[in-house]
Amino acid sequence: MSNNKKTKKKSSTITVAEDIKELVKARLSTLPRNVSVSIGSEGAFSRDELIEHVEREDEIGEKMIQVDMEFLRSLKEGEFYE
Amino acid sequence: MNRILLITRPDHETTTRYLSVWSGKIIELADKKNIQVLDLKRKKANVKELQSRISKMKPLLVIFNGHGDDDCVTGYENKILVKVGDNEQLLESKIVYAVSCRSAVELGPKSIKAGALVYIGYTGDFIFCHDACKISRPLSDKIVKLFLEPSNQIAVSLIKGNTSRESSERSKKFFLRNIQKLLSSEAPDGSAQYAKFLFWNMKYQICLGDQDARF
Repeated sequence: MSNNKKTKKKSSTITVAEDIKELVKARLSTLPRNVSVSIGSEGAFSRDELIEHVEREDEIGEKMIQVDMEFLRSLKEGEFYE
Repeated sequence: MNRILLITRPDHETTTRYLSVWSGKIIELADKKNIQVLDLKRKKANVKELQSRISKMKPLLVIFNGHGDDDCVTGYENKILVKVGDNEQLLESKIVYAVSCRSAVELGPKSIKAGALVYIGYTGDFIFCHDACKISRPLSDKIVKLFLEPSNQIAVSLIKGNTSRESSERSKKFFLRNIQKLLSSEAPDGSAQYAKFLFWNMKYQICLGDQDARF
């Protein structure tokens, strides 16, 4: 029983992580094609390159997820409107 | 202390080129205000030149454009200019603004401990978007303008005589105004995606040290 619960919880966490990844990729895909994103000494990346990094979940990909999630949380809390 | 501005502009790849060109606007304003500018451009953005100019000319305001890490800021070809435990004493009695990644995490606090008046910088990566078709004409790039005008606002505000706190706040308000514009229904398609990067820079910009210091 408790093992089932654990498995369900783990599976749910994985699903959420996958959902977030897909959301971030979908949002990045709306960046115009001519736009590059400069991330300090990591370099400048096109939208397709950023999407690949998110897919691979490497350091740049994780950063893109963090940037988007922090922004969406603040948007939800109404931080941008006085 | 003299009203002298020292600025580093390494300009050795795309990111530093954008920062360098857009910093030209800060230099123009300083010239108009009869402020002496020590412009460490390209190869001159090295530690030897920095140390020499600081010890001879004693600039009050120091602006770093370049890459960085928690404990350092770098110059031409990413060579270290100031590093914790090495030479942060260079920044003693200075108002510092570092447009670089994460240097406000460790170098900022250690510089203040070593006697810097103010350290304004970023505790996260400094991120900006630009138009890949405008690399040869960065000043005509309306996308990068959304990022570098709010960042430049710190130097502009300090030059105009505002306190360090006011300068950082004005910069953050500028970032916020641009975010709001991008989230409005009148913003061009896709441009709302820049807002998250503006928010990131706004959120991770901090002002350490004497909040009432003026240049």
